[in-house]
Parts: sequence; structure tokens; C-alpha cells
Amino acid sequence: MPYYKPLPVISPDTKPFWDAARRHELRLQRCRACGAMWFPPAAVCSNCLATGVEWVKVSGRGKVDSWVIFHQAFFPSFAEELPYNVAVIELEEGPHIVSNLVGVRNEDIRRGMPVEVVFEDVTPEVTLPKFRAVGGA
Amino acid sequence: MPRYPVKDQTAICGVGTTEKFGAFPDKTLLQMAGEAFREALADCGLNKEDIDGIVVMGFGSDRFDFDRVAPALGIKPRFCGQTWLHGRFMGPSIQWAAMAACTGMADCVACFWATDGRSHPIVWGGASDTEGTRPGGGPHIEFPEYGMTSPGAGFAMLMKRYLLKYGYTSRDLAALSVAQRKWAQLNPLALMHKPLTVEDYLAARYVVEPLRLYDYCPTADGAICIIITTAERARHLKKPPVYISGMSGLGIGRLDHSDMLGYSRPYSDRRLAETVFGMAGVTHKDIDALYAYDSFSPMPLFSIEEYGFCPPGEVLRFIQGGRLEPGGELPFNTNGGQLSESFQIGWGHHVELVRQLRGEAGARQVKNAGLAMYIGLDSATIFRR
Repeated sequence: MPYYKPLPVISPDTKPFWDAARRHELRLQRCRACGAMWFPPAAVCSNCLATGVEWVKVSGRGKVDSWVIFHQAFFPSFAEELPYNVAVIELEEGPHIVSNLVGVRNEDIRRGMPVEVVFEDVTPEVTLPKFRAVGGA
Repeated sequence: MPRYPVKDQTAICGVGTTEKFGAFPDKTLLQMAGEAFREALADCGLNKEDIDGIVVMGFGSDRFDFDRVAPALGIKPRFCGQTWLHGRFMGPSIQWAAMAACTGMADCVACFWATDGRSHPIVWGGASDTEGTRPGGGPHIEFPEYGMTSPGAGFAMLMKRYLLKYGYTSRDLAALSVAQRKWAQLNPLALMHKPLTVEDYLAARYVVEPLRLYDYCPTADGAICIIITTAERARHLKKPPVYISGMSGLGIGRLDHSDMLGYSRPYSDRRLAETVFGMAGVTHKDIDALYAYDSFSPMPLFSIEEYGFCPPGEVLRFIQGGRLEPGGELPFNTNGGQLSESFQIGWGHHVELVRQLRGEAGARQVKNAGLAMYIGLDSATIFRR
């Protein structure tokens, strides 16, 4: 089925994140020297400037910190889904990540609600991590 | 050398705008800039031959570059600054001009802004927003693959968290747009003069919830020119100088690696506030009129809080009861802000604060206005009569 929505721009820094997503894994970077973790990806640790960063699999669990509901389609490819949500999720490991919440009505979203990652294979090359309520379908 | 060599050493000596902000489909950016330039020169009594520096920012259907603007307006600069469209660069445009004049790199710097966003509208976000597609998120937390796009949506995300964290509602948020409209009604340059009530605000459609129509500003065509010179020179020109007394910025709103999304506002890094107040030698209590960049309503709210005009978590209480309105305790965005004047990204605020400090603001005049401050996320400037 053709996919018309924008695809993520995959750069050398972000490629490992998207390769992991294709394997249905959520991976973040962690600094080998100081243990800091962060999102979005960056090649250098902004805490201690070490370049020895590793990609670690995270639990995929987190909680909703904030969200918005789009009532206007800035991308025509999203028009059919109006009104749609975008959320900032605070992962268990600390960093925040942006994604869509799936399987939940917009009016039922609550700050602090526990969520877990699910993976949507949108094209043969690209998988998007999204989040559903823990215990959701 | 003093710690703050630029303090009070330069002044805004002239301001000019197109006669109105509105829809001018037959005018180009350069043409509108020419109108504003003539007004600004007449305002201070300088000739174009006196202008030896420029700072240029523009946005629209045509390239508004320093090396087109200068020749088109007959200017021969020995100092040039150029920026692309981001509201955050507006305050610094004036600051760079002040630094140039203070160091002797220029004597008289003309700063230019022009826009034709009403006649040549764009979608703010979506496929045309290439900055929003940069990997790792755009400057307003854009992630197009999830439908997260447009600058307003980034601030909507921050506002939602703030509303939830401190227990506020949309009704509390309405007070800002309502206040701005009251000032706009007194401003001939403002686009929006119709009265706006809290009920009008709440009845309007959501754009990116929790932000509604009146949390966004209208676009308009127009141009503005602001001329800065040394304090000494300004004292010999037509109008009372508006001295640039304190400056800070640019910050980037990202505190540490855990906040690479730029998601931390309002934040507790006080250095920008300490620098601008420290340089001017004043506190927030001394500010007679406050201006804050307001493409979307969360921006000026965070500015008010981040610079200490109210305690953390209190801004939506602070703005109730008409505090920011004509006759209120803290005259705020007395031009109506972008929210009601139009999208001139802070240039209109600067023209207004100059007029206030000179005593030229007519029906909007703040009594005994001696100190004004502009906060631009993430810069700030304090101006003194």
C-alpha cells in the first residue's frame, strides 16, 4: 500500500536508531565514559564530550509528559486522521521522545499515563516507533 | 575597559514603517523597505549618506539580502549583518547594530525588516519547512514523520505541559489575547481592532490544541526600519535618543543533553536575565513597559516568567485581572503585540517602545515611561529614555 506521509530523514547520526526500529527495537545512545543517555541521536556525548557512544536497547516503556492535537492538516497526507495527536513521552531511562499515541482516543490521553512502544512498518525500509497505553490492544 | 562597554553608548535615533501593515500585492519587499527607510531618515533627520552600516532581516516571496537592499537604497555600508527568518534573531539584529556603532565599525546603522506574507502566504510548516526536516527534530520539536510540524505546534506542546503541570485552563490562557487586543484598538497600525472577549477566544477553533485561533498572530505585508547610532550623535538629532542600556542573548533554550528537544521551557537558567538586568543596572521592577515576542501566546507568557516578572508557575495567574491591559500595572505589548498588530516579529514592538519612551505614543502613552524591555526568546534588550 503506498505511503504518502513524510518519512524520517535518515542521517549518519540517526541511522542506527532507524535500523533498530526496523528490527522492532527501541535503541538510544549511551555514553560509555559517563553513562549519560539522550535523544535525539548525537555522535558526541554532550555531557563529557566522549565519542565512545553505544546504542543500547531500552525498555520501550515510558509515560506521557505532554501532547498536542492537530486540528489542521499541515501535511495533506495527515488530513484523514484529523484530529490527530503527537505526544512527548518520557522514557523510563530518562530521555524524552516524540511520537504518536495509537489505540487511544484523544480525549482519553492523560499526563503520566504509562505507555509502551509498538512498531509500525510503514514502508519496506522504514519502521516508526509509536506508543500505546500499557495493556492496550 | 568597563565590564559592559556598550551600556548606554548607543541609541535608537530613528524609526520608520510603511504607512500601514496590510495587503499590498503590488509592492515588493525592496519597495516597502524604501518607504520605511525614508520615514526613518525623516524621523531622525539623517540622510542616506550618513548610513554606513546595515542589518537585514526579511521574509517573503523575494530574497531580501543585504547585498540587494544596500544598493537598492543607495547605502554604502562598511558594516553588514544578515539573518534569516526566525523571531529569535530580531532582538539580536538591534544588538548587533549597537555593537557595531559602539566599536566604531559604523556610525549609523540602519536595520531593515520587510515581509509580504499577506500577499504571498505560505503554510507555516508542512512540506515547505525544510528546517523542520533536519534529523533529530526541528527547532520547534518538528518530527514530520509523526505529523509534528509548524512552529506553533512546538509551543502548543510546551503550553500543554505547563497547563497540566500547574492546573490551568484555556480560560486562563485567554487573558493574554484579550489584553493584547485592547492595546491594539488604540494603535492605528494594528490589523485587529474588533473587541475580543474571553468568550470570543474560547469559541474560536483549535489550530493545534491547546492553542486556538487567537493564540496565533495574523500575517501582513509591511516594512520597518530602525536606525541606531552612537549616544553622542543621537543627542544632536531630531528626536530624544532611546538608549540601549542592557543586552543579552542569544540563548538556545536547551540546557543539557537531556533536553536536546528544546523542551524545557519555562526554564530556570537565569543567565540571560542576569546579564540584561545586570548590564542595565535595573531589576524587572523598574521596567515601565514590557514587550515580548508573541507569534504564539505561550512565547510571551514564558518570557514574563523566565525573566522574573512573576514567580515560576504563576504567569497564568499573573495575567488575570487586566494587569497587562491599558491602565494595568504592567503595560505589555502596547502596540497590541503580534497577536493583534500583525506578524512583524518584534520589529513593531521596537517601534512602539521607541515611541513610548519618546512620549509619542498618543492614546497608548504609558505615563512617565523611562525604561522599556523587549524579550525575544532567547534574547533581551533594555531601553532607556
